[in-house]
This record gives sequence, C-alpha cells and structure tokens, in this order.
Amino acid sequence: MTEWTQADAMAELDPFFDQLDLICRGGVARYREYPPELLIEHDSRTTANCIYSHMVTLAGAHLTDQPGIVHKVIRGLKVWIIGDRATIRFKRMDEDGRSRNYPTKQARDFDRQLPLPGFPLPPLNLVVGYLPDPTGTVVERVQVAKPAGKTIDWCAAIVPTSDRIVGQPRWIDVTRQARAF
Amino acid sequence: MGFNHHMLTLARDSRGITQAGLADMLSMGQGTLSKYETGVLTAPDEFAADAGAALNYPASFFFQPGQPYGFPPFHYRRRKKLSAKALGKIVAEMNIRRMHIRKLMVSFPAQTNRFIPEIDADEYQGRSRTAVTTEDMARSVRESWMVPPGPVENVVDLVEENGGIVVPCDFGTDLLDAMSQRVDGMPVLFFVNMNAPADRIRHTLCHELAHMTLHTTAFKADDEMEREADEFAGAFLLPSDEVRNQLRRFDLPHLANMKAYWKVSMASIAVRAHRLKLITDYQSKMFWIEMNRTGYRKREPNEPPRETPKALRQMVEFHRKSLGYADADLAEMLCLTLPEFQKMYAFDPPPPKGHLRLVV
Repeated sequence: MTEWTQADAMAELDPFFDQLDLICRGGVARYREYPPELLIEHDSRTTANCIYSHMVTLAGAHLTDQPGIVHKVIRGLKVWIIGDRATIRFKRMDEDGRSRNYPTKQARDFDRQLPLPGFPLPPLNLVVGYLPDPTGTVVERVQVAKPAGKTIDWCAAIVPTSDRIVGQPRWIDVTRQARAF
Repeated sequence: MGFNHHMLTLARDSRGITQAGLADMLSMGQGTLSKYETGVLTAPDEFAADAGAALNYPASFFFQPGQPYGFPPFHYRRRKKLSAKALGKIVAEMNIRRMHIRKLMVSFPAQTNRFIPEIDADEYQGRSRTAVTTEDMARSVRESWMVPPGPVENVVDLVEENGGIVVPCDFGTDLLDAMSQRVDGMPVLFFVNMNAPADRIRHTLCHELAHMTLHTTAFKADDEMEREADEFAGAFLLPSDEVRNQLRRFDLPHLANMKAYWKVSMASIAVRAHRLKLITDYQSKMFWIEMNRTGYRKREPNEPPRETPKALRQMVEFHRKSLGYADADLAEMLCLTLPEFQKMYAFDPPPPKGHLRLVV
C-alpha cells in the first residue's frame, strides 16, 4: 500500500486514541495548574512551549514504551512512529488542523511528507494536537492532521474517551470543506 | 403593639399579591382592605389570623413594630426589564430580612470595630488642587481596610470583616443583582442575588459598596452615580498601577489568565482597560464582537470559586447553639412559619437530585 487514506491512518492510530487524548488534554490541564500570577507573565509562545513540554513528558510515560511504538529524537524533533508507517509529533493546532513551526528544513520536510533520516518509507507524517477554546484554557478537541506543505491534506477529531459510545465512530473527519463555486 | 398596618402592606407585597387579589382571597371589599393598609381603619385582631392564613405568615407578623424602608433607585443594581411589581416584591422581602437581622442582632455580639466608610468627595478633597476621582476613593477604601496589593481574595469576607452583612438571596429573577441599605443602628446590608456567576457577584458587591461609600452623603444624577459605582468597583478590584503593568497584550487567552488571577470577569477587565485608556475604542469594539460571537457575553468560562456569606449564618447558628433556640423558636421570633424559616435560612444548598443514597 503506497497511498494511505485518512481511514487507514486513523485505523493505525486507533489503538492509541486513549493515550493521545490523555496526552493532549493532560498537557493543557497540567499547564493550567500553574499559579495565575505566573500564567499572566506568559506570552502565547511560552504557553505553547510549556504545554508542549508537558505533552512530551506525558507521551514519554504513556506512549514511548508501548509495543509497536518507536520514539525518536532527530535534531530536536521528537516523533513517535506508530505501527508500520505513521510518524506523529505533537503541536497546538487551529480548527483546520494547521500548526505553526519555525520553518527549519527538517520541519518543512516533515510537513511536505518527505522522508526523514532513519524513518520508514514511504512516510506518513501526522501531527497530533489540541485545539484550545478561544480563552486557551480548555481543550475543545484533540485532532490528527496530515500536513501537505503549507496546507492540510485532512484533519480528524478524536472522540474524547469520556464521550465515546460503543458502536459509534471513534473519530470524526473535520477537514474544512472547500467551496464548490 | 397593636395591629401594624405597614406590616399588612409588607406581607402582601412580599407575596406579590395585589390589593384586589388579597381582598378577593379574604372575601372582603378592597376599600376596607385599603383602609386597613393605610391605617384609616384599625383592623380587628381576628383579621390578622385570616390575613396570615391567606399570606402564609403567622398572625404575630402583623403586630411587629417598625415600618418598611424604601430603596433609592441607585441602591440596587438591576436591569431595566424588571417590572415594578416584581421589584416591589423583592423590596418587601428585603425589608423583612432587615427586620430579621435587627432581631437576631439583639443577642448576637458585634465582632468588629471596623466600618464601611462614607466618603464625601468635597471633604475628601480638602485643600488639594486636583479634583478627587473615584479611583482615589477606591484606593482610599482599600488602604483603610489594609487590603494588600493584588487581587481581593474574597470580597464577601472583606465586606463582612469590615462591618457589612451580605445576605444571600434568591430574587427569583436574574434581572436584579443586588440591593444595599444603610440604616441607622444597623450594619450596612447587602442583599445579593447568589444565582449570578461568582465573578459577577464580586463586581456587584463592590458596585454596591460604592453606593454605600460614595452616595449616602452626596446625591447626584442616577446615571452619574451608576457610572461612579462601576468605576469604583473596577478600581477597587483592579488597581490601575497593577493592571497597567500586566496588560501587555489584549486577547482572550491573556484576559482569561488575568481573570484567574484577579477573579474578575474578562468583561470587567476589558471595561477597566478601556477606562484606563490601555486599549483603543477599536480594540474594545472588537472585544465585544468576539464576546458575542463566542457566547461569553452571557456566560464566561472559568468562573472563580464562589464566595459564601458567613455573618448571617453565624447569627443563626449562635442562636441555635449558644442560646439553645430550636428552629420553631427562631421561626416564632422572626414571625415566620417554620417551613418558610427553614427554607429561608437553609444555608447549605440542597443536594443534587438523583444522587446515590447509602442504605444500611
């Protein structure tokens, strides 16, 4: 199989939905435990950095040692390879699944779905992240997006662990639809 | 004390019943009832029992001394949609609560020498050349109460520690937030609608504090007093020098963080920032558009912890535990039926329905 669909990719991540949900929500929740007088001093970049650090710590605890998962750090880029192909990194996202990166070559290659050294071929680079509410205090949803250069191929929302119903879909496609005209 | 005609009007208003309606209930002419209420005719003693039965008060209610006090319009924070009838019902209830507190205070030892000041702007200015501002007066109250820099941890506690009594109320409407009253010989009373969000209650209480501090000695136009009270509340909760340093950027995430610190709504912070000219008119306009779009204008997320009044509870508990009053005794003293007393002074919220019950 060379071209994985959204359903294929999400099926690959499916066994780890609980962990991904916990990592993203837990990272934000842990950050919100900071005393308010410290939160006031943070700008949006510091906020994202702190939450990212908490997410990476949680990922280390809940994802890294799971069977079928390989954790790699390549020149500061922390990724987890899930199953045969899916390579994920954690980010804050907007509702379309877009995230902001300092555009290093490595970051651009990741977003362009280009292979990184030592990574499985052909690559399936995914970004897992949280969509904060307008105040940045609550996670509205946990998303998985497949970047395609500066745009997004698709974006899916993981149904929160607490809201899941047996027999109902465990993820929902939230890719923004293009206008027909 | 004979039949007090003021109490008849008060009882009727507190139930939201018109004079004609009560006359129908008692199978009597409205004219006679009107004369009883105005004191033109003295009601016979047996009338008290009938009226009490119709209005759910013991007959003793009508033999209490005293008379209701009106609330000047600037002494309540309300929205304009509230009808006069609904307001009359609430005012009557507040008068009854005030009479309760007066009775409870007879035996309850006062525990503070502090007080809620009355500031006359002209006196305050003295010989200073610069005009005194609401900001100055808010700072003065903070200083006289020795409030440290930073957020006011608990506005309800602060007001009660300084001689006020916050009376938790359920006005049955969200169109009225609070009423306040300064009556000679009593602590300043703040009747607060506890159904409002916690951050709104904090602001409301400071708004009422402004009226009690600034507007009991000097009267101005209603709109001006309302504006001053809002300014005072903002300055009291968000001192300008500290807010100025913190408001380095103006967006919802930063306002949410400031809200967590100051325990004041994002809307209040935005209004304060606009008043202090820390944001432009355009920023303010865009903020309100965003608040409407997100639905936060009606209900903001991240409500601070609720503050619970303690003074009134202490009074009732003092009577129960130290003076040995049973609920029936307290109900009799306050001229209430026992069920109404227990409902009115049930300080703990009822447990949520549908919870699990342990059966042994």
